[in-house]
Amino acid sequence: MERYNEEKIRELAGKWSEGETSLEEERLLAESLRDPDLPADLRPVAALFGFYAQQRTVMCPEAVLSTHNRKRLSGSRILKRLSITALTAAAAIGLIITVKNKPTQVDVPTLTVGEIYYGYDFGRLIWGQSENRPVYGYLNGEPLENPRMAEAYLIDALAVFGENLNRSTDFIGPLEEVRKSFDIVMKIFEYAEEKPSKP
Amino acid sequence: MTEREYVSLVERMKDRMFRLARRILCDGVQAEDLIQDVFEKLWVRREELSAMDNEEAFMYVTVRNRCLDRLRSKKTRDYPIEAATQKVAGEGSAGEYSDIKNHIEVLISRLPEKQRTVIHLRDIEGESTERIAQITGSEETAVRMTLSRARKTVREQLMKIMDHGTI
Repeated sequence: MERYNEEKIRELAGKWSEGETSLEEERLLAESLRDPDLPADLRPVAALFGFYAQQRTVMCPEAVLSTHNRKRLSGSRILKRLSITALTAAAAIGLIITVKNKPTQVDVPTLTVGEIYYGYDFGRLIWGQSENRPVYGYLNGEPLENPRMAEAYLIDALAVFGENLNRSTDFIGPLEEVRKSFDIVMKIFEYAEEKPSKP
Repeated sequence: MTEREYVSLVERMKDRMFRLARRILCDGVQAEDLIQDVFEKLWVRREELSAMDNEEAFMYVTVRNRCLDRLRSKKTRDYPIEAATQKVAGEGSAGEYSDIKNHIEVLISRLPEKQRTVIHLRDIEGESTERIAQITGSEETAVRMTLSRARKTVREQLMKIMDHGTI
């Protein structure tokens, strides 16, 4: 392995302090600074290079990556979002029907996700809610009462839903949450067909 | 970007991303949390990644920006020195090298964030000035200047510590 003499090391260490060394020069400097008999003035630089070499061995804890992989591969977040998407889609369908039936009661261009739900009985019909309060969506069975949160989840969910449209039904078909989501949509469709005939 | 390409990219970059976060935040636990968050964001945006010329630089930029957001949210630009000292002192092993290592950790943690980032990317990760310029949004000459300031500060302060025989 190539090493510089003291004079050359000193010169290069000065150049290094000025930020003027190339990566190759820095590699050779690091190698030369491993000499245990270095003069005192070069020891701080040698200590720094030793520290930097040691820092290169610091690794990302395995738990960080395994947690990420678990989330990524399980698809649980996708399904969670898918569920919200289905519910939102259902609400949107409900809105269209409601607008058709009661055109004077809503201002379509200004509707938000929350407003889609508020005041209508789809939530009660689908989720068995008995309280007449504004619920803007559901996450893990819990009502979302903050319209901004619901809107953020909706945007997120639509993005994820869009990304997964081309996935095979073999992948998502057997999963319970997906079945539930589609059931909700189907119920909305049934409701849409029944509604006009109701008194 | 296929799932396999994404996994390969993350495998290649995870340690470097973690080290950068740890250097900027001066806190390993916070760095773990942040990297987890970054991975999730990148997974959602993996299609954008494949369209980029330099996806590795983008990953560095993402980590740095998230770190800066976190530092700003704490309304402090630099990590408290006392806390850094306690942390590194707790991590080190016994002996002379451990003392030097602790001192260097603290000296680097006292640098302004940009100098800390530049010195880390160059001296630990061995990145070119061109790539560091991309990551930090600076000119290459500015990177060299920042690097020089950082190296001189750490070298001179370490020299004083070693000269005074505290190590």
